[in-house]
Parts: sequence; C-alpha cells; structure tokens
Amino acid sequence: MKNLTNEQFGHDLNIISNLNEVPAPNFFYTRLKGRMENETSIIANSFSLNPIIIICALTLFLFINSWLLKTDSNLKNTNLNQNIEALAVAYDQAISN
Amino acid sequence: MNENELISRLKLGEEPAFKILVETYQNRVYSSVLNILQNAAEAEDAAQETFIKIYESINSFKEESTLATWIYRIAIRKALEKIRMKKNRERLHSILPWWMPIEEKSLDAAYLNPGIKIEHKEKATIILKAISELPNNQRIAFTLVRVQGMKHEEASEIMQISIKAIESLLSRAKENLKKKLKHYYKS
Repeated sequence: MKNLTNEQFGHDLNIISNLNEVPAPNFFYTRLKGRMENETSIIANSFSLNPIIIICALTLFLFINSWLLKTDSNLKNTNLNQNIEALAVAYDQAISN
Repeated sequence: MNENELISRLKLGEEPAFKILVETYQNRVYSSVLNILQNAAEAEDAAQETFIKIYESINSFKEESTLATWIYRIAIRKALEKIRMKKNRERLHSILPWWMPIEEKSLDAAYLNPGIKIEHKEKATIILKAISELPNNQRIAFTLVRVQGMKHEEASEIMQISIKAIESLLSRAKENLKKKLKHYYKS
C-alpha cells in the first residue's frame, strides 16, 4: 500500500513538473507604463499631502499665530495705560497705585 | 542587443531599452510569480512591481550575477511581499471582518497553465494548493526547481543559498507535500 502511495505521489508530482511558461497578459507593457506614469503623478501630487510637510506647516502657523497674539496683547496693554493716563490728565486727576 | 549593452542603456534611463527588457522577461517573470502566488491578478501586480523596481534600481545592479538571476530575485521578493500582505489581510479580516473584506479570487494557476492537461486540472489544483501551504522557502525552492524546471545551481543563485540547502528544502517540501496530499488520497 505504501509503495502504491509513493507511486501515486510521484505520478501526481509529474502533473505539475516542468510546466511551460504562461504568457503575460495582453498589453502588459502598456499597462505597466500606465501604472508607472500614474504613480509618478501621484508622488508629485502627494508632496503637499506629505505628513512631514503638513506638520511643519501647522507648527509654523501656530508659532506665527501665538507670536502675533502675544505682540497684540502687549500693544493693547500699552494703549490701555496710555488712555487712562490721558484721561487722568484731561480731568486733572492724579493716578496713584 | 547583448545583455551588457542593454544594461548600460537601461542605466542611462533609455525608454526603448526598458521596453526591450520588459518584452524579453515579461513571460518568465509573470510565469514565476504566477506559479508562486497561484492567482492571476496578484501575479500581474507582482510582475509589474518587479519591473518598476528594476527601473528604479538598475543603477544599483553590480553585475555580480546575470541580469536574469537579478530579475528573478526581485520577482520572488515581490511575490513574497504579496504573500505577506495577503496573510496580514486575512489576519485582519478574522479580527475585523466588516472592515477588511476578503478579495475575490481570480482563476487558479492550474487552469491558466497551458502545460497542465485538461484531465489533470483538478488534481493539479489540489497539488498547487498544497504547495501554497508550504513554508515560504520550501515553496519557492519547490516551485523553481520542480514546477519551473530550473537547475539546482540556478535556484541556489536566485535564492542566494547553497545547493545543499536547496536539496534539503526540496526534500522537506516533498515530505510535507506527501503528508498534505495523503489527506486527499484518503478522501
């Protein structure tokens, strides 16, 4: 029985032995070129969607925003003090802390 | 055009040279990856990725081996990548079936291969399925030598292992196949 199995096994393996080449699908080169061109354009377009670029742009935006807010609040404080002093002078009042 | 001329023209980025390369090797590459992956759509994808990789990295080809061996190496690496990705997809599908649907299977390699006689197609499908269940190294060695009819020396160059290692892989592959096929003989 074992010999028969070996024989059967050998016969079965011969079915898939030394198979001929399977031809590539039609228009293989054309499709490959299409894919390569498509991938190149995707890479070019994806530059602006690159996570590193996005994170850097956001960080820069936040930095400029916080700097502007800080500058603006300092300016407002100075203006407020100047206004109070001007009012006090106009009404001939002394400001004491 | 001889191989050296083709390589130097490829390194210069000449498109006609790339077309010649693709037309020369497309059947061999497609056939190899189809025999490994046993899925026509995946095989075409892997063959295309092989040629894209060749185009991108031809300048790193040091000509220590023949162009054909180098191309086969890339093709097999791409086929193994596909197997890994498929396994990951299946693993993810078992965890999250609604998120990762299983892809539709295309025609089996056995039905596409003109070398398999019609009366043997059914049995060939069973054997090819059993081959696909072998560990990757055994699967590649067995496919290259037994299915594609390569010499042990060629397979050892492609897989970058010794001839003895190829022989050992083949013997283990055969043993494992026998165990797997016994189940089918019984039924």
